[in-house]
Amino acid sequence: MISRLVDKPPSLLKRGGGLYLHIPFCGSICSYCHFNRIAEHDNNLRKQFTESVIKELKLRVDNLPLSTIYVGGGTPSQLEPELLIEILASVRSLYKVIDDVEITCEANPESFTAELVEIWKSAGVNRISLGVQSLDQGVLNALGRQCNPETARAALQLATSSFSNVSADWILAPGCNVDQLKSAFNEAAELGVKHISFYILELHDKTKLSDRILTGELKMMQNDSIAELYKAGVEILEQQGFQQYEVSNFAISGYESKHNSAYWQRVPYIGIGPGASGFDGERRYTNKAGIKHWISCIQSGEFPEDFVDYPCEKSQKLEQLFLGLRTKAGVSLELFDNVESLEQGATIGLWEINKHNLVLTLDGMLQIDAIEEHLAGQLG
Amino acid sequence: MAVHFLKTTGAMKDFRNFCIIAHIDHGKSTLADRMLEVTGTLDRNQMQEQVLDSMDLEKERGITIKSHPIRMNFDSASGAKFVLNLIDTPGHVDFHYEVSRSLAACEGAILVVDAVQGIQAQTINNLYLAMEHDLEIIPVINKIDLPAARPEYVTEQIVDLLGCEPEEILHVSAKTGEGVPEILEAVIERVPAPEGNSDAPLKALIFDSIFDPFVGAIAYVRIMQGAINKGDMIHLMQSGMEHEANEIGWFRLTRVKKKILSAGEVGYIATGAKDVRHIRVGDTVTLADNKCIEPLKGYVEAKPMVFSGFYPVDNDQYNDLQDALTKIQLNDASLTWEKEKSAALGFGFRCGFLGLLHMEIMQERLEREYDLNLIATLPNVEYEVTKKTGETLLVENPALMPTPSEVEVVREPFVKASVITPAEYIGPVIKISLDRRGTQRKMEYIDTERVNLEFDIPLSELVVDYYDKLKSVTKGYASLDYEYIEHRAGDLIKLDILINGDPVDALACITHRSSAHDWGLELCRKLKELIPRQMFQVAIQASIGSKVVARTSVKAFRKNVTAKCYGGDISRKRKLLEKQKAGKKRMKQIGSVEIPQEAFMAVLKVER
Repeated sequence: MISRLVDKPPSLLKRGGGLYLHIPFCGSICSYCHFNRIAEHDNNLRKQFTESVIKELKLRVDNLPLSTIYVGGGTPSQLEPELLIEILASVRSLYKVIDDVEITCEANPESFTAELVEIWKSAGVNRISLGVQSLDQGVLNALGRQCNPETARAALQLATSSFSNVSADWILAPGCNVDQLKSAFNEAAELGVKHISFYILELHDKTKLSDRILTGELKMMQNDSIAELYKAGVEILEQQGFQQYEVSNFAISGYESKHNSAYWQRVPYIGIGPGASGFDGERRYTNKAGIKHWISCIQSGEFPEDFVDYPCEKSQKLEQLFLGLRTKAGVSLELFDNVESLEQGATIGLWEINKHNLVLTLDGMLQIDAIEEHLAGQLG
Repeated sequence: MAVHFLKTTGAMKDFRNFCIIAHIDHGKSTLADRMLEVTGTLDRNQMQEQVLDSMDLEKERGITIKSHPIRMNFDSASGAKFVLNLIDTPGHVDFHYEVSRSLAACEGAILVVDAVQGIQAQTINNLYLAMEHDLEIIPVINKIDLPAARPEYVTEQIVDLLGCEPEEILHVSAKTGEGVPEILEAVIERVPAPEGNSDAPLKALIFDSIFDPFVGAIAYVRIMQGAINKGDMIHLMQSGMEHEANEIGWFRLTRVKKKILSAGEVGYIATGAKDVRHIRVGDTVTLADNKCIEPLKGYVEAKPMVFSGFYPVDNDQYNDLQDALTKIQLNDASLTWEKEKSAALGFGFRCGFLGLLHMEIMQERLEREYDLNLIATLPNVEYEVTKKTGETLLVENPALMPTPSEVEVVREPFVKASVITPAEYIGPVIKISLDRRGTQRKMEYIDTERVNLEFDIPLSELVVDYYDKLKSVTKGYASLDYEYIEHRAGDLIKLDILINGDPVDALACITHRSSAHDWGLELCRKLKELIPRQMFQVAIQASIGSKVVARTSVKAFRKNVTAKCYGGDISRKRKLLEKQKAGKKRMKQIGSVEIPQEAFMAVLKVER
């Protein structure tokens, strides 16, 4: 009890922010996924979950306006639409929500239906993030997706005909090639997709995919060809009008994800649901990841937090650094000890230095982890 | 004056001063432990293994670094009472000079030979040293309790070596204590009692010294003639210094205060001097107001042979390092150091050591006892450089070697290395020695299985990897000892290592021209392995003067990107970076390149 008093959660958002809601349910588990998700769940558990989400919303209630809401997962479309409606209604009744709030819902093509669209629209969802990943059967198989290219196309069509702001996730994985990316991004653009998240596949331990690669069943691409494909992909996207605004994110001007951009700018956000994280400008927390643990905490009226930290001034600078580097806005030069020491990277084309900021080039983005490490040593 | 008290200290004929000499690990310290038990010098409660080795490092490595004299009373089987002074000497070639001074303080030596391993290089060298001092040698075969013991074989070896009778060799197990009283009886019978006129002016040999924070520098002495009383003003004949003998006495496990020490005795003199460098090993102590005429022979100033730059990894530790070196030097007169600045490593110290082991011990003590994080540069020797201008200088730091065009001649120290090896490895031993510019001087069969090989070899080659190599080509069976001979001219040049075009002074080394090219290649290759990939391509070059002899590079990362970083990833990512930053404390930033500590020792690992 005492620790709860000492560790009182956020006196929350001071200048408006986001709300992230984590729906941990999936229809099946993708081979590359390491996120917090479960494939076995029933209506009973989903109801209990909804109830707990609403309780957590109450626990974390704050009077600052929400400008973005993001429903992610897992697979939000696995939750009964009426339960999602209930949750969003609670958000609106408990929190101030600004008029032109961005409400994003993630969905998988195979569970994205016309019925769902209607209900989500009525609940105020105005942005869809569709987990397409690829329009190539081989790549989809390798990733263990339950979806085929036809289903993906149909879902894209449905989404773009129902919503004006549609994002699609694409993945750079074994089996990808330049022609494939060219025709896929072309198709997406023609359908009216406004935003593409183009991720390089990451291998995580204990996923089916990494097992298959370890046993030699599947061959991972060489770093050189990944780098080439990524650069080619970026070029194709830009030709289609998708401007890069972060390492993996591209948008038709004006359709950048407001919610995700807030993360990189260290704007506060509330996290709700098992494993969700939140930040009030000073304090970061992450909820317990196990759905049962999370539920039982909430039911007993406790904050379901697994860990909490208060980044000190140095740590805050470090966050500003590695978050800023990800974006095309870059990092303020004021963060650095000695601006002259930054020249070498500019000379060899890893970054550019403009009047106020250091901005990574495409080559730089490909080496961002090493650059972060290097520049972390040069912070003032 | 002193003469009046003489009789109270016992008769000289009942004294025996002796030491134990052996190859490393042949059981010298364990035998000493048993003697202390048998004579009742220590009771069971005081007893522990290697009781005379007081430093943790001595115990851990099973070696003796400082001398540890101890006085024992022994009742002989004949009923007579004797006073035995055992001087436990350092057991490593680096401490050659200290050993020789300890031997000079004795009349006899117990030569311990392992019943399994037989005679080894240090056995022979220490034996010769003991013979030079005319010591009575008592040969002892130790570890006779081991199943693999071969006492007959080792007896033959010893008989051949000493020309003694097999019956003169004692058999002992220092571990079980079997045979130990017999050794003490042999000491009484065979080792002559000390001689020396107690009425003559004081003449005492300093065979070691330590620093005690309460009483200052303490000289360990053997009184050769005359006597000293507490409070006497002493005069040190080599250094010319004078001090008051604030406290004198002899040794048990701790120091025992006495009023007088006289001819034939072993004991200590506490001088109140602030620094052991005033109390030099080998110096002669006499009385300020009644000086003896000539000092004892054999005094040599301790001279460092091996040098290395010690740098704190974290520059904030510079002052701590200086304090630590100052403190250690209080107790170790053979350590030298002076301030040094490296463009690559910042501020540090060029330290001089008696040998590689001495260097390793110092580094370990600094890191362990003083909690410092150090980079030690490749050990090197001292070069005598004569410039074309006729000027001669001593170069202890390769980075300071004048350019080839300025140099007339470079001379480097040569040593006589003795290797004792099983005969089957003669070929490989000769090969690795010749590869390192050695010249074979002698090959002598000790018996049918073992050969003593002698080489003249540059010390610089020896300090790099010779010992490791020797152990590896002989499967660990060979032993090595060496001794400085002289400086000899050679075609020596400085090999520079350049990182991204800039020479890194701390990586420079001096090498023979014939091996410079291969060495440069290997060194570049090794550095390529050790320097992690960074954001920039790192060019590594080796050059002689302005001529590049080898080059390679560490390519930049091609892809090193975390694709997703959203709300839930931030804390984890930040903590990872903080951890990496902490990990970098063991890296040195040179220009924009991060070089791990091990890289500075890479030269040691170069295969030849």
